[in-house]
Amino acid sequence: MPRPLEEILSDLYLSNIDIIGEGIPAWVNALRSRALENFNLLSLPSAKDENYRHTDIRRLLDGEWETYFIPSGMNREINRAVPQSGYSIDVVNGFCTSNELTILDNGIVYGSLRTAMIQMGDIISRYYDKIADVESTATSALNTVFAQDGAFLYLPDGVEADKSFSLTFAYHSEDQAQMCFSRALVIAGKGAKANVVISSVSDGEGRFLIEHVRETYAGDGAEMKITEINSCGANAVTVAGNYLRQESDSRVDMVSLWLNGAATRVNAVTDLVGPDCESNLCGLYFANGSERVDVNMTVNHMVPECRSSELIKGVVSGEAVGAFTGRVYVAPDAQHTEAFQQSRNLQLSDTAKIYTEPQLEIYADDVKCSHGATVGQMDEEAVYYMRQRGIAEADAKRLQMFGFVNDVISKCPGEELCESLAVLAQSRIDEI
Amino acid sequence: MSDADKILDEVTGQDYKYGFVTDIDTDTIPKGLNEDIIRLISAKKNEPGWMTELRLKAYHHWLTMEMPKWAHLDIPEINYQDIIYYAAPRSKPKYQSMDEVDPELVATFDKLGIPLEEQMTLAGVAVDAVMDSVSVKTTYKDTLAELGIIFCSMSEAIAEHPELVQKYLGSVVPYSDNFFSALNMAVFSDGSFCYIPKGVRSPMELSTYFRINAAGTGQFERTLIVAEEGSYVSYLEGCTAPQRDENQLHAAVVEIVVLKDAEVKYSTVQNWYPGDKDGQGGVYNFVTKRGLCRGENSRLSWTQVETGSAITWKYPSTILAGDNSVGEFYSVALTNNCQQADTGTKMIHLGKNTRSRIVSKGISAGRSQNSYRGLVKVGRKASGARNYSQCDSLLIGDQCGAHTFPYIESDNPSAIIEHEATTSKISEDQLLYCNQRCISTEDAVGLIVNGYAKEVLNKLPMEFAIEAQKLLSISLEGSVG
Amino acid sequence: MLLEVKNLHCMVDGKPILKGIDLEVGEGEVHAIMGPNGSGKSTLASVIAGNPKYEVTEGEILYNGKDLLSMDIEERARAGIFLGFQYPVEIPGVSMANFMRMAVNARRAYLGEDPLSAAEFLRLMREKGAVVELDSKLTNRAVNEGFSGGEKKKNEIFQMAMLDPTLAILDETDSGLDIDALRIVATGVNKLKRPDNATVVITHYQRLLDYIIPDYVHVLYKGRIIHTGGKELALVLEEEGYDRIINEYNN
Repeated sequence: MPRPLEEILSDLYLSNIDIIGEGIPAWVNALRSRALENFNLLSLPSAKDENYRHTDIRRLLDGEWETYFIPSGMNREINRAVPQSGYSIDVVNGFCTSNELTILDNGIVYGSLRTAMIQMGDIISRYYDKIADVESTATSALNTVFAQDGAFLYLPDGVEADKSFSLTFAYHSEDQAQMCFSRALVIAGKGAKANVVISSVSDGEGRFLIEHVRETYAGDGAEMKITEINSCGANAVTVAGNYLRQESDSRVDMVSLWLNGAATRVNAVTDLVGPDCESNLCGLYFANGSERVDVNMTVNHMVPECRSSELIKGVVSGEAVGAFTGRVYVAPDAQHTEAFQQSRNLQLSDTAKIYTEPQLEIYADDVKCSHGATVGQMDEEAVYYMRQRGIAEADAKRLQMFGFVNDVISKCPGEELCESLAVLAQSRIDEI
Repeated sequence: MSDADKILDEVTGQDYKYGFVTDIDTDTIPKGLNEDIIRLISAKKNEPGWMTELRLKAYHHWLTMEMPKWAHLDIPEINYQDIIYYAAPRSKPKYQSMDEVDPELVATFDKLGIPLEEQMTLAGVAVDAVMDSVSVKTTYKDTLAELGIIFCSMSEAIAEHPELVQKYLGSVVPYSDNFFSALNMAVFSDGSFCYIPKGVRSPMELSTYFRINAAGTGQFERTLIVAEEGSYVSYLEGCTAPQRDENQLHAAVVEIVVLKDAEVKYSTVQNWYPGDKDGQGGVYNFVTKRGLCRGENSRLSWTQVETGSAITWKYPSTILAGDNSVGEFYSVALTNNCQQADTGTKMIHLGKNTRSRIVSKGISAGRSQNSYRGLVKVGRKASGARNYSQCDSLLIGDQCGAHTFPYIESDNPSAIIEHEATTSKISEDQLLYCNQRCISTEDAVGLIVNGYAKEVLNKLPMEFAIEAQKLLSISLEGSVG
Repeated sequence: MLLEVKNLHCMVDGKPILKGIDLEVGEGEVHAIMGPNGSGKSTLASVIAGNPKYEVTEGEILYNGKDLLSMDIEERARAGIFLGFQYPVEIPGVSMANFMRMAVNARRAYLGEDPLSAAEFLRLMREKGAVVELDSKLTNRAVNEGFSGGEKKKNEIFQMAMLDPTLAILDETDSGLDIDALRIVATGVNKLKRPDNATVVITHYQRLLDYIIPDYVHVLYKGRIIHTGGKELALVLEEEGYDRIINEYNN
């Protein structure tokens, strides 16, 4: 009988425990032990689990993956998704390219997460592993067990950054199949303001299983703009847990783009824990060829008087599978919640599959909540109209499709960023 | 306590009005489930060998299955060996006229507000009354027989129309479909069978009343409706159960086959005993209902008003196999006190240009949990499929929950699927406005709830719509809205 | 005396709005209450109708000599107090006919009259609908749902006609009406006037008072009635605005 996957992964940790925990403060290693226990209790989900019907995590992880616990691929040029701007942190195969932390005059700190754990333990320990759901999500617990480094950004109370931050996660493998754990921690103190662009890219001939966790904290009154660009190659499978916690009066505008990748499963969880928060979440995914994208978003309204809105668009073609599950939870007493969710999908081939499950779970009565979902195709009338005005059919369709996706892209901050993303999206459209 | 709270308290404190027990001797078999019990049920019903075999096959399959856990329900452990699987009124009646019917039974129906005689004369409704699983009385059978319509109990159908039963029983809901459908096939005691021949439009609405009466008996009725090419029937099913303290299990199966150009309307008003306001007692309603629109241009419409049961697990579904077939689902589900409901529909589009429409109105009050769960699936070959779903939730009070879980699965690029959901409460402004126009808060709640549910209630046949309106008001507030 | 308001104080969300209102309305009288925005006009109307949002902290209201403040909102309505809302709420799915029949029969029960049969009720609907030239199609629709601003206001007067109140308070019934609708609404109100009932008109503009001639005009300012006059006062206010009266009051 083959050994259970959980046991193999546990052994992988235990036999490399010295190297993984070397030089890292004891409190971090204690979190690992606890996460390992959780992981073993939870066990990895398979397609039999209601929440993982469209992505069999067991099957993704159950392969001949190599895992390195030391930096690799460091000196290569990173093939960026969008031009670099502002302050930047580069993480290659899970390790930051620089061990130094940069401290700006206004107190902002950014750089290697590992170095921050060592040098800023008092601050980090308040947030690290506290925002992610390591209690009930096995993949996130697994990340805590193995993650050694990643990107770190800290904005002290009241600070407004003068430039944007760009966090790049690059994955490179010459020929091996690698499993790579990467992590990000972004903390915005009370009233802090920041614009963060997070991208992930991959190259090389080898395959990748990317196991990523991102924790973002928006303190009281903080304002954050986050743009997330997932543009890994066909060699990459991504399993990600992106967690966001918002305190009172904070506002987060996040745009998430899932542009490429062989298979992607994302759990995006937003906890609104202080009153009067606002959370605007937009997403766009492309799935073409044999790609699979499975986006699972949860917004938890834990307290009264918060507003959330979600707009998620999907374009699915070829033999691809696109799945979106959006859960809005309104806790008892979270009165005056306003939560809106829209899922819009374009299905472009008869071999593509779309699954969309918008869900409302409401335990408070004085709320305004709604969701909507559509699956459709291009508007033939509009195509006809454009053709009548002399536009070629293919161009008319491209125009229309671009209009569909640009609705999300145009919500990104800054013209330059929007333009580069529009180019990326256009090239995806042209592939269809 | 504010006025609104007081009213809500009164409203949610309302006791079940249909709680009474009919004193009829019942013929029961021992508790529990095993091969012998199944053989005993089959023998008591004088069933042919093939039926006994089918039951046993279903039983053995059931043994390999587990209760589904995915619903948003908190279901206490059910001991399937502690249930009596068969109860029939002892004086097995076969009456020709009303005079022969046990007066107790007639009185029961009277208290339910469905006087059999009146129903017989009124609006030409034929009533196949089912009490504790065995069909007691079938009316208007002769009129229907002239048209070739068969409307009888399932036991009679097995005896008299075995070829039809063998052809269609389990063809839409096979026993292997789910835990409860397997259990039902193994132990079903009776139910209704309805066959509409080619080209015949049923001149009257066919109606069955189900009741659970004997204590500790599960009710496992089985309904089969076959509408042949070009035929039409409107079928009504109403349920009320008397008050009991222990929970009672109800696991019915309804199968409908709709052939080319035929149309079936299936309406349900379900008011099984919901338990008292502390959640003691009440019926567990685990029902599998499914229709197959097999022929081109066939049409099946489900309308349900669900106000009863402690726990409801029910998804009347339609498989749209024939090209251009149409499926509709209109639902009002009201939960109060400690009730839990996880209900909705499945629309499976397989044929070309198939269309479906879902309108679901959930109402939660008290400490209840009300979930809509629905699947819209468009298969590879279902070009031009179209679905529109509207799911609304209304919350009354701040202790309850309203949830929406739609599943949309599309395998065809020409499909157009739209789903919308909203959640609202009865606004203070609306209550105030009604109060200012002389209407009490209690009446206003009834009025607003009925207004909210109107789109669905309008789909019910007239007499049913009125009863449903009454039920909504009674379930919420104890006075007619 | 039909209505006696004595030293009425009230608060909303802890903020005092009315600070000592005295007002007497007798049978057969028409009163107009005017005043700048935020002076408390609508609050006064809401307190008389019994809106629970408003907390009366001092003073009393007598209606036909009885303590009005101890009565529920629907009790007051059944006793003949009608409030024409400034913003009538929409009640989806509830037809005007159902709604009104329930209201009319509740009022009739209070007066010791038998409920109307469906036929009698429909006859009454038709008859009263004519008073405000209400399109009969509107009565088949849900309460206020999809009504234009003008239709909503006409609908308020129609309901007033149906319920035959003793004291009608019209809260800014003229706002948002064009001149034709204004004329229709005002004519409706005048037709309903009798020696044994009374009307209180709350308005911003003099123009409504061209059609509904008041016996008394009150100026409400910062929660108090600071000036009372006859119908000519409205014309003075139209020309001069409130400034002079307010200045006099402040001095």
